[in-house]
Amino acid sequence: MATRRTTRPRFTLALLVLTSITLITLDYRSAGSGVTDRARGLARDAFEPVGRGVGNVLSPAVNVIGGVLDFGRVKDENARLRDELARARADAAAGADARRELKTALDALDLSFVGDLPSVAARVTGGAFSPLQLTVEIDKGTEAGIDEGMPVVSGGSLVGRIVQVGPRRSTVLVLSDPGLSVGVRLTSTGDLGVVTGDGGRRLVMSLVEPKTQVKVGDEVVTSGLQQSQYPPGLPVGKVTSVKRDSAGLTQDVIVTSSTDLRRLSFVRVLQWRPE
Amino acid sequence: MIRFLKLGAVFVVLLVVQSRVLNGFTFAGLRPVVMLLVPVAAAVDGDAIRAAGAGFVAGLVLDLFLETPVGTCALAFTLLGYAVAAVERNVIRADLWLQPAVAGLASAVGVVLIAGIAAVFGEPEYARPTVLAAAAFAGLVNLVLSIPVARLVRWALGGSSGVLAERSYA
Repeated sequence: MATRRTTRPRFTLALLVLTSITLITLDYRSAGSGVTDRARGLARDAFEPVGRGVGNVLSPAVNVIGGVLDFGRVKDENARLRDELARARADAAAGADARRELKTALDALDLSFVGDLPSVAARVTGGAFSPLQLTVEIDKGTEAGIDEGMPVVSGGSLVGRIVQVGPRRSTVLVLSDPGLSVGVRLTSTGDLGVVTGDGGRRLVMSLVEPKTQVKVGDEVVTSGLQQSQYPPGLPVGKVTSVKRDSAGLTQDVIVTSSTDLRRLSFVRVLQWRPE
Repeated sequence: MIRFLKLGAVFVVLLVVQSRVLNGFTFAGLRPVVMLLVPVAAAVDGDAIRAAGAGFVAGLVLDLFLETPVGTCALAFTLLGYAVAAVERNVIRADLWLQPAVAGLASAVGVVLIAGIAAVFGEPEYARPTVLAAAAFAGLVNLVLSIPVARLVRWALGGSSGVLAERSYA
């Protein structure tokens, strides 16, 4: 009798464990085209209206609380944004000419120009659920021409990459995720490096030559080197601080994204694939 | 049947809380995972089968919303529920004041389990140092949320779901 009591829980546990392992194996082998992906798509499509409805009901309260808690920060940010807007207007006039020249040069070299890439606009429907990755979910998928690995931009700068795609929904791994690395180039010097997220708005640029003179305010864009996951010239952010170690062997370059990666609402998925 | 419907309702509530409330509540980019409390809450009365079963279903539901392979959370939650029930039955018999701490600690272990299982099954990028920070953060948040979630799970599964729920809400 006692044996039966102890055997049954173990048998049930073994059954559940084996079922889980079988599911993992099935999902792994189907690689994005199996029954598990269809189940995922169905579950997300079914849950989305519920989540959005509750979100709409809760959002006034959440906004009031957020507004009260963030009032000081919002005021500072408004002042900063006004200043940035004035400078951006001045830069835009100068930049238009440079873009024309760049496009002509790239056409001559038969390379793609970021401004010419086809793209799909999508709305961020909410943060995804992963405790281990910084992801957001968007309301467009394969039916709109989105594919895994496509770069995602917002406000003209890179914000992430598509890591999972369903018929009407996709998951974007955000640039601030510590697991996402992007090959970049400093526009001022042409030096290359790699930026990695720190979970917030800051990105850490590593592999920068110690002799490179990096200045605060330098623009950082995607390098687009061979086998890169991103097209060349996509704005990533601006250098906000540079620290050199006492021996001068390394330098920590902090890059801040021009987009607030924690508050994405609309994005564009560039229909670009690595060559 | 009613029990399944109730459990389904609990999952929907927890998913809404996760996606609409907790996803905005991040620390250094880390998010808590409220669903981890289902196997823990089901385990507090020491019934290992019920805890493992509730954990399996909760994990499977969460798997549909994550990027890790389907079955990863189901496996992690099954093992977690069974282990917490075994510890509860044989070792600590957690009292009222101790149960949120058990829930927090178990949640932290759960996050490490998810990352470990994903890494073992071909997703090595999940096994990174930030997992420990994610585990600590999830543990702290779930420590606070454990009491209301225990109440919900007790309502769904029926019967006793531990002294925490009974004593807190009797």
